[in-house]
Order: sequence, then C-alpha cells, then structure tokens
Amino acid sequence: MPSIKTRFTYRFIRAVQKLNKNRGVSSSMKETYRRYHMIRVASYASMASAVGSKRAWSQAVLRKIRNHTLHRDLKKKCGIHALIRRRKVSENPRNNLNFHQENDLRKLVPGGEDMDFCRLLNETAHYIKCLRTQGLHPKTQLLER
Amino acid sequence: MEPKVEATELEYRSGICGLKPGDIGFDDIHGLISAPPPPPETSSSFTALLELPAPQAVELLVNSLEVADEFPAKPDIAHFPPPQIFPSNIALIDHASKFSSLPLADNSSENYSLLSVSSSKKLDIVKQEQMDSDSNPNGSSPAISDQILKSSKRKEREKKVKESNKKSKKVVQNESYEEGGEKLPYVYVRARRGQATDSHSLAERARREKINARMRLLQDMVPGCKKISGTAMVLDEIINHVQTLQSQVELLSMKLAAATPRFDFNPDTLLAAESGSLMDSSHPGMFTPSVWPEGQINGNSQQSQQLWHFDGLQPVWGGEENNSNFITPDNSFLSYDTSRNSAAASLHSSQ
Repeated sequence: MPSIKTRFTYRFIRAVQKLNKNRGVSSSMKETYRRYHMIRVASYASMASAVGSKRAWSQAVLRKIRNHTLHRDLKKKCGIHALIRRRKVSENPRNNLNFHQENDLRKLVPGGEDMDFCRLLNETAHYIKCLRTQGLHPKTQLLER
Repeated sequence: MEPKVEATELEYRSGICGLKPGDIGFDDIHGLISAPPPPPETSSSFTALLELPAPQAVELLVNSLEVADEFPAKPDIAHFPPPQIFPSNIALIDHASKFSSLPLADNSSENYSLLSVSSSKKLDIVKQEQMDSDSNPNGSSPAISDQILKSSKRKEREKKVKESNKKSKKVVQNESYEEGGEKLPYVYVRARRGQATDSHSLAERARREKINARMRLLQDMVPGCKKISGTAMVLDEIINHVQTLQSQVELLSMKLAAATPRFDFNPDTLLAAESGSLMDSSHPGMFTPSVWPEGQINGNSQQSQQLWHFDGLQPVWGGEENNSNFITPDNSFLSYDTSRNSAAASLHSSQ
C-alpha cells in the first residue's frame, strides 16, 4: 500500500501536467494568478483524494470542490445536513472554555464547522500531518528542476 | 453463637434490603444458605438475586459479615483473606447496595465507594472496596477492607453507593443485573474522592480525558508546543502552525505557477527518487537551461509583486474556491482578478 506521500505526489504531478497542457503560454499576471489558483486547488484536491474519504476534512474538501464545480451557486454550507450538524454542535451544552481558538480552528480546518471539539482535534492532527507532506516534498522537488 | 450470628445476619439483611423482616422469613434464609434456593416467585428481588448466584457467594457474604461480628477488635486487616471475586458476589453486593438505605458496612467515617456501570461488553470485574474501621451503631464492627480493583469504564448506567461523612450520594439505575451469571454487565469505576459520580459527570470526565489526550498528541506534533502549558496557548500555537503550513502551500504553488509557464518537467526522475516506480510521461522530458533561469527570474519578480497582493489570500474554504476541472473559467475569479490586476499592473509598470 503506497504511502500517502507517494499517492499525493502522483496525483499532484499529473494534475499539474494536465494544467500545463491546457493552459496557454502567457506569463501575464492574470494567467499566472489563475494558474496559481489551479495549482493550489490541485494540491488540496490531490491531497484529499490521496487520503480518501476516511477523514472528515478530506471529505469536506472534495465535497466543496465538486460542489463548486457543479453548482456554483449552490453552496454546500446551506445544505440541510450541514445545518443540522452545525446546530447540534452549537447547542452542545458541553461547551469549551477556549471558545475563540476553537472557532478559529474550525475555520481553518476544512469541514471543521460541523464537528464537535473532540473530533475537531482528531481531524486537526491528521490535517497537520498531511499538510506537511503536501507543502514540502513534491513541490520543492518540482521547483528544484 | 450460631443463632446470634444469624440474628445479626438477618438484621443486616433486612437492613440492607430495607424490607420488613417479615418479607424474608428466617426459614428462607436458612434454606438459601444450606440448599439451592427456591424459585423466587413471590419474594423480593433480593432473594431473586440470591437465587441466581452460586450459594458460595452467599456464604462468602455471610462469612464476611460473620467475621465482622466475631472479631470486633481486630485492627489487622491483612489477616482477613480477601474474598474471592465471583461475579455473583459482586452482583449480590450490588443488589444489596441497591436496596439498602443503610450503608452496607455501617461504618461512619469510611470511604467506601462502589460504582457500577453496566455495560454490554464483558469486562473483568474487579472491585475495590475500602472500609475503615469505625464504631458500629450495633457495637460490633471491625475494619474489613477488601481490595478489589476497579475495571475499565464503559458507561451506560452507573450506580454508586458511597458511604462517608462527606457525601453519601446514591444513584440507583440498576436494571440488568439479572443477566449476571458468568458475565456481569457491570463495570466498576472508582470514584475519586470528592468528585461527583453521576452519569453525566462521568461522561464529562471521560470526554475531558479524551480531549486532553488529543491535545497532548497535537502538542507533540507541533514543534515548540511542549513547553507551553494551558489549553488556550497550545491551541493558539496549533492554529498558528496550521496557518503557517497553509501559507507554505500557497507560496509553493505560487512559485510553481510562476515558474511553469512553459516547461515540461520530467516526472520520471521525480517519482523515481521517491518510490522507485517510473511513470510514463506523455511529454518528453526536456527543458533547456536557457528557459529555466529566465522563467525563474521572471517568476521571482512576479512572485514578489504578487505576494504583496495575495497576502490576505487565505484559503477561505467557503469563499472563492476555484474549480478543479481546469477547464471552465470562473467568473468570480475574474472579477477578483481585475481588482488585483489594476494594482499589480501599476506596480509592474513602475518597474
């Protein structure tokens, strides 16, 4: 079973290749910015698909990307399931004392709005681990060429 | 001696049961002790419980009480052999404690906590009791302390009989004790002194411990977090770290975008370095050295400009997410772009 790192690298490189094939050659600001955006989304998407749907954050990432592609106006945030989950989380009597940081963390971790604090910590740990491999290895290798 | 012992036994028993002495006839108890007990049709569930476990357990209980009576002034606890732990025994005591309005050991200044939490899993039942010696209202009570350890926590119901000067709180939610034969559905959790032990606070405590464990893990992951004490600071550090990582990703992708307008990189060597598996590349791997420095320099200057503008560009997950199809352009993207473009263009032209 290949590690997450290799799986991610595989997908990411393929995505970037496809990007380069499709996009034009111009190195204008606009084009570069667009390419930057594509590459960033490709990075997160390949990371999330390398992780799979086992994790809540990867699920949330893939869901958001797909929703944004298909229904650009329909934001998943307003979906009924998300609403129910979020209400359940906010109504939780076992509220934490560190409310401020908790909220910030929820905003940072994808899909963090709908989970309780305990799960949020879980997802954060895994997210940090994957972010490390995402940011370090393949891109620096690519850039060094 | 015998009748006296039995009388005290019965006194205990009826006190334990909280029932009228008429309910449990003396004959019944004799019968229970000596022979397999009769079916508990009419009698209270105490006798029903007595029927279920082995008679040995009953004897044990009797023995413990007997010893209590016979050795009133014996302070040495170690001599008393700890009773063997039968599941039935525990069920007995459980049930006894359920019905008791008096404390089971009728010692005042003790810290005898017995917590039982029923669970669906089969767990090892090891129980811990601690009883200090104290004066008995009846005038005959030594110190019996059994050391039975606690088992793991599995909360569905919990029941606690705590006898002490401080708190005597009793929550009885006992429902499935009848199942206890070999497997006992109870799980015993040791209540810490001075802590509430109803189901809610137990659940709370377990949850807090879970959260603390996860926080410790996170502390290990984030560098420089181990020294910090306090959840708030640690959380701040974690948030900081996540933000750093995300901005790193953005930085690298920006670099990549700026540096790859037109060069085909060779993925073979890239992957070979990592996993040893070669990938078929449709593009022949070629990039001339002339292209590379030019692209790099260009990218650098562009990138430094762009960075100023994209400072506030955090990955807002609900906001301006771009598609991953790489084909369809995004209208919102373009609108975002034009605002940036004007500022960027002015800067660019100034150079």
